[in-house]
Order: sequence, then structure tokens, then C-alpha cells
Amino acid sequence: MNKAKFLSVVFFVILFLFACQGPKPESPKKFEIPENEIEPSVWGKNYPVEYDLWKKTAEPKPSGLSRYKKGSDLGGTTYDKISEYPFLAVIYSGMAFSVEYNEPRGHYFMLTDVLEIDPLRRGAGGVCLTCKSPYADQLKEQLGIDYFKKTFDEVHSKIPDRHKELGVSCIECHNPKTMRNRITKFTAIEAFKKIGKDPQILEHQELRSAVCAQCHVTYTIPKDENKKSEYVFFPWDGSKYGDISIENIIKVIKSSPKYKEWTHKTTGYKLGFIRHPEYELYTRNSVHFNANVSCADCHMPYKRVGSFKVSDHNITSPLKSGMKSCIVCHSEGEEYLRNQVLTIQDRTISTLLKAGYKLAYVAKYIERINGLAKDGKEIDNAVLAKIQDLYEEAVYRLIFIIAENSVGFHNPTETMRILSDSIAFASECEKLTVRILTENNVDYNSIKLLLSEHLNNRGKKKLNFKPEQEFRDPYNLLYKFIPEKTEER
Amino acid sequence: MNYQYDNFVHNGAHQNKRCIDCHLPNDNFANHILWKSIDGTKDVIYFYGGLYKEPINISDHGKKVVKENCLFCHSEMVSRINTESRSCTDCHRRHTHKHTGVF
Ligand code: HEC
Ligand code: HEC
Ligand code: HEC
Ligand code: HEC
Repeated sequence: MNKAKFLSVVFFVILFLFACQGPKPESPKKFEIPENEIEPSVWGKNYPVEYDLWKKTAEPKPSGLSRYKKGSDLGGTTYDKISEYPFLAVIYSGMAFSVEYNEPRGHYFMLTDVLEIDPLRRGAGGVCLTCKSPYADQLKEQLGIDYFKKTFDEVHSKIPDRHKELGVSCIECHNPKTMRNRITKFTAIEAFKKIGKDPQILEHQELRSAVCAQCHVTYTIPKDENKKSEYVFFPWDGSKYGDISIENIIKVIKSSPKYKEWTHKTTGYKLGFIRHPEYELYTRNSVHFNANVSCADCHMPYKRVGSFKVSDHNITSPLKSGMKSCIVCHSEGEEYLRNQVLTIQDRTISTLLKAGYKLAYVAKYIERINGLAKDGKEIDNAVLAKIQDLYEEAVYRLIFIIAENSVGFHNPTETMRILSDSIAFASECEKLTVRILTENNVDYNSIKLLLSEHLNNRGKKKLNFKPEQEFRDPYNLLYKFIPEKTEER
Repeated sequence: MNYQYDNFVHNGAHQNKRCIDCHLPNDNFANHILWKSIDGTKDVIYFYGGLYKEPINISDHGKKVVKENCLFCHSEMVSRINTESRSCTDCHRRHTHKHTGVF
């Protein structure tokens, strides 16, 4: 071998070794991040890997992997929850959610999606920004009660132009000095105190869920006499850490007329509302919570980048990221685990559809009874009050599971308990309503949901029913009780 | 410890490691020798005295030592993540002898 040949071999071997190494894990900190730095790209100078992953929440995820949560799937389709669950058009009638209500599509879009949705959905006012903008706490300090009361557009206009569409940012989950997780939102800080936890001294593993609990929780917006928003809080009063129950949440909602945020058009009832209670459902004695697993373990698994690992800030459904987070703990393969998730979700959907349609029909019976009362028929007020109470108990439980985003997976047994209680309350309510209808010679079988009236031509965008998005009962039992064709129900 | 041994030698990962690579401190020689004598004496007394019950469980000190050894060998891999609270095997469960699943 001549010298030149030898040297070029050595050169390529060295080049090869370097090429295999990837980025080096030398201490990445380069400069002090200012205390109130909101702009993520500034944080990105110190932590480019996490910053790049965080930006990836803007990218669509592979399609065809998740069965019920397709909001971020490749293809740009908007998944419409009213088409997925047509009975919601009746359950939410008279409220903005029945006009436009979509599946989530990724953190990057959280504020954009609020700006693009039907304007009715921004009706609550500036208060909506609480979970959508890193400026929320600052604006609340500045504006006081006006932050809640003023229209969304007015409060939103106070955000600097370059951040008008900026969603969840580094500063909401991290202390810039130490990079330790922390919770910053006033709502979450107040709420953790209510359940007996000091938000400043949460343990490491507790924090890895608590950062998500700043937004993935239900909340209540108290209204003044003019239906203007006064505040926003998590209805966790009376609950304990690891035990925030639907029963306690309902108790809070029922405790003041201020918490009745909307009027249900079909029944005429004033009702409260429940939103995305991921944290509440998950932390109530689920198998994983009890095994000390956190939200971040499943949704932000450690990811190898060259020779070191980082937390995957490209937060999404585990089904769309190869079940990688699950496989760390469960050595069963990807397909086995996916099948476990889908089976739990199929069962949830089947029960959920039966609970939903039962209650939607009951709502229509109540509408008819209200008509009878208007026509001067004498109906016992005590029974009417009982009907209203049963309906309320059933509807909050139903909404709880519909609004929760894992379709039962986060806590399968608690999900089934809540749904079967919803069906139990609805059945009791149905019994009373059917009796009144029969006594007044109304054939309850003739009462229909008239879904086509509700499902089409919705709101400013004139949205229509998308039949291909409707969730069917995977076990086909639903169609023993109601017509198979949506328009005939 | 037959159960632990059988599972260990049939498990894929770490086969070229010895028990003491994980179960004794390897940060410095003095510490290693100190715990070698403490744990070794304890094992002799407990084993020949019949003072232990199956299944045996790892002590808190034992857990700490194992975790430090994981972090020692994989220091580069974990250099940027926060490892303050849990054992590595809370997630990587198949590396515990109980979850190897061979016996
Ligand atoms: C500042 C509020 C906020 C925080 C904090 C937050 N989220 Fe979200 N999250 C949202 C909103 C809002 C959406 C829906 C965004 C959209 O579709 O426009 C969302 C969507 C998601 C999705 C669906 C994404 C997809 O690809 O479909 C997942 C999964 C998720 N969040 C998990 C988490 C986890 C885990 C944490 C904690 C590490 C967390 N979130 C922290 C507000 C938040
Ligand atoms: C044991 C693993 C695990 C844990 C822990 C976990 N999740 Fe999930 N999560 C899932 C799975 C699986 C789904 C279903 C995804 C699907 O159907 O595509 C899901 C769905 C979601 C979704 C909807 C995703 C989408 O694409 O729309 C959100 C939001 C979410 N989880 C937030 C959370 C929050 C917040 C926590 C902590 C309170 C949490 N998760 C804890 C596994 C987990
Ligand atoms: C929704 C909350 C959330 C947001 C927003 C967020 N992070 Fe994180 N980040 C986490 C969690 C949870 C961890 C894990 C921390 C732990 O275990 O101690 C983490 C860990 C980190 C770490 C430690 C190393 C690692 O990867 O585990 C760095 C550095 C980091 N994040 C940087 C950033 C940067 C930069 C941004 C903004 C571009 C950001 N994070 C936005 C939740 C978040
Ligand atoms: C940090 C470790 C960890 C992660 C991550 C994790 N699991 Fe688990 N999982 C456990 C533990 C511990 C149990 C309790 C039973 C056991 O010991 O196997 C469990 C139980 C289960 C069960 C049976 C109990 C039930 O609720 O039905 C299923 C199914 C399951 N996991 C699926 C998943 C899926 C799917 C993922 C990913 C989205 C996942 N797990 C992520 C640790 C984990």
C-alpha cells in the first residue's frame, strides 16, 4: 500500500467516526435567558434541540394510526366533533359549541385555531386567552376585571404583533434560570392550593403532569347579571390531590347560579359546562397514575439525538409516534400496544354513543313537556324539578367524557363508571318524562331528534354534516335502539 | 438468589457485566471495597443463617447504588435530562430480574 492510499483510508475512517457521533452533549447553556423572555427562539439559542422539536408541533402527523383523534393527521382535514357525535347538536343546542367544535390539531396552532373558529366561540371574551397565550397573566395584571369582561378582540389586540398567534411557550413550563419545570398560570396556582398541594414545591414527577394541568383541565367562568365573564377557575373545591371527582365538580357547578354559563335551547335549562378534563380523569386512581407515570412519560418521551437524550417537545398522540413512549415500559411490541389502546377506545365509544343518544332523546321529551306546560296542561312542579335535576346529573357526566381527549384510555374503568352513571340518571329521567307524555296522550315514540335541522348550515361558515366523520358503534348494538341512518333519528 | 441469577444470565442486555458492576459502588476504589466488605459479610450471614425470605427485595441503599451505576455508564446519554427522582428501572422495567420474563 503506498503512502497516499494509506492516508486516504485513515482520513475516511476518521471522517466516518466523526459522522457517526452526532451532536456532543457539552453543557448547552450559552447565556442567561432574561426572566420574562417570551420569545421561544431566544430560549432556542441555548436549547436548539428542544426548540426545534417544539416547532414540530406545527407539522401534521402520520395519518391512519389513531382511530378517534385525527385532528393533527396529515391531509389538512378539519375533524368536526359535531359530525363525529351528531347527538351533540341536540345536547349543545343554543350554545357556541353546537356551531363549530373541532378535534385538537397541535400546540403550535392553539391561538390560531381560536382566531379561525366561528366568532361565537370567542363570546366569553378576553378570558379565553388564559390557556392560549403566554401573555395571559401579564394582561390580567394590566387590565384587572376587564381582562375577563372585555371582548376577545379587544384584549387580544393588546398582545404585541409578532406574538398574536403564539401558543404555549417555554416560559409557561420552565424557569429560565434553572430550566426546572414550574407552573405559572394563576388558575393552576389557585387550583393546586385547593387540593392541598403547594404549587411551589411539587415533586419532580408531579411537575411532569402539573405543567400540562395548567390547561388540560376543566374550568368554570362565573358570569355577572349581564352574562359577562367575571373570572375563571378550576372547579376543584372539595377535591384532593389524586382524587378530583366528577361528583365534586358537579357539586361546585350547582353551588351558584353564576356558574351556569349557558342556556340549553332544547330544554330551556341553565347549565354549567365541562371542558377537556384530562388531568382530572387521569389522576383519579388510574393504573398509570398510581404507578407514578406522568403525562410527559407518555406524551414527551426521551428521544435519542446523537449521543444523548432529550424530552420530545413535539407533543402528540402516542399512537402517532410509534408507541415509542409505551415500549420503554412495556416490552410488548407496537402493534400489541396499539391494539390495547384501540380496544379500550372502541368500548368507550360504544358506551358513549348509547349514553349520548339516550340523553338527547330525553332532552327532546323535556322540550315536548315544556310545550305541554305552555299550552296550559297541569304538570306537577315537583316532578319537573326532579326531571331537571336528573338531566343535569346525566349531562355533566356525558360532557365530561366527550370533552376528555383520550376516549377513555387515560382511565378506562373510571370512564366506564362515569358513563354508566350518566345512563342511569338518564334512564331515571326518561321514566319520569315518558310517564308525563303518556298521561297527556303523547306517543313518545313519535318524538325524533330531527338531526338534519341541527347539523346543517351551522354558523357563519355554514358548516354541514360530514357523514364520513361520524363515529359508528364498533359493536353495532346502538342500532338496535335507534335508526341506523342519522337523518332518521 | 438463584432466581435472579437465572434470569440474569438468560437476559440479552448486560451479559458481559458482573453482579458487582451494578450492585457495588464504582465511583471510587475505597468506597467499592468498603461496600464489598459490608454487603459480602451480610450475604454470608443471611445466606448461611437462613435469615432471608423469598422473594428477596432490593433495599433503598441498593436501589441508589444501582441507579448511580446506570448513570455512570450511560452518563453521556442522560447528560441533558433530569434524572433526580426515579430509578431507571421504573421505566426500563425489563432490566429488573423480576420483569426479564425468562423464569
Ligand atoms: C397553555 C396551555 C397548554 C399547556 C400548558 C399544555 N397544553 Fe396540550 N393543548 C393545549 C391546546 C389549546 C391544545 C389544542 C390545540 C389546537 O388544536 O389548536 C392542546 C393539544 C394537545 C394535544 C393534541 C396534539 C395533537 O397532535 O393532536 C396533546 C397530546 C397535548 N396537548 C398534550 C399536552 C401535554 C402532555 C402537556 C404537558 C406536557 C400539554 N399538552 C400542555 C393547551 C395546552
Ligand atoms: C399511559 C400513557 C399516557 C399518559 C400517562 C397520559 N396520556 Fe394522554 N393519551 C394517551 C393515549 C394512548 C391517548 C390516545 C391517543 C389517540 O387516540 O390517538 C392520549 C390522548 C391524549 C390527548 C388527545 C390527543 C390528540 O391527538 O387529540 C391529550 C390532549 C392528552 N392525551 C393529554 C394528556 C395529559 C394532559 C396527561 C396527563 C394528565 C396525559 N395525557 C397522560 C396516553 C397517555
Ligand atoms: C408544555 C410544557 C413545556 C413547554 C411549553 C416546553 N417544555 Fe421543555 N420540558 C417540559 C418537560 C415536562 C420537561 C421534562 C423536565 C423534567 O423531567 O425535569 C422538559 C425538559 C426540557 C429541558 C431539559 C432537557 C430535556 O430535554 O429533558 C430543556 C432544555 C427544555 N425542556 C427546553 C425547552 C424549550 C427551549 C422550550 C421552548 C421552545 C420548552 N422546553 C418548552 C415541558 C415543556
Ligand atoms: C413509565 C412507565 C409506563 C409507560 C410510559 C406506559 N406504561 Fe402502561 N403500565 C405501566 C405500569 C407500571 C402498569 C401497571 C401494570 C403493570 O405493572 O404492567 C401499566 C399498565 C398498562 C395497561 C393495563 C392497565 C390498563 O389501564 O388497562 C395497559 C393497557 C397499558 N399499560 C398500556 C400502555 C400504553 C398504550 C402506553 C403508551 C401510551 C403505556 N402503557 C405507557 C407503566 C407504563
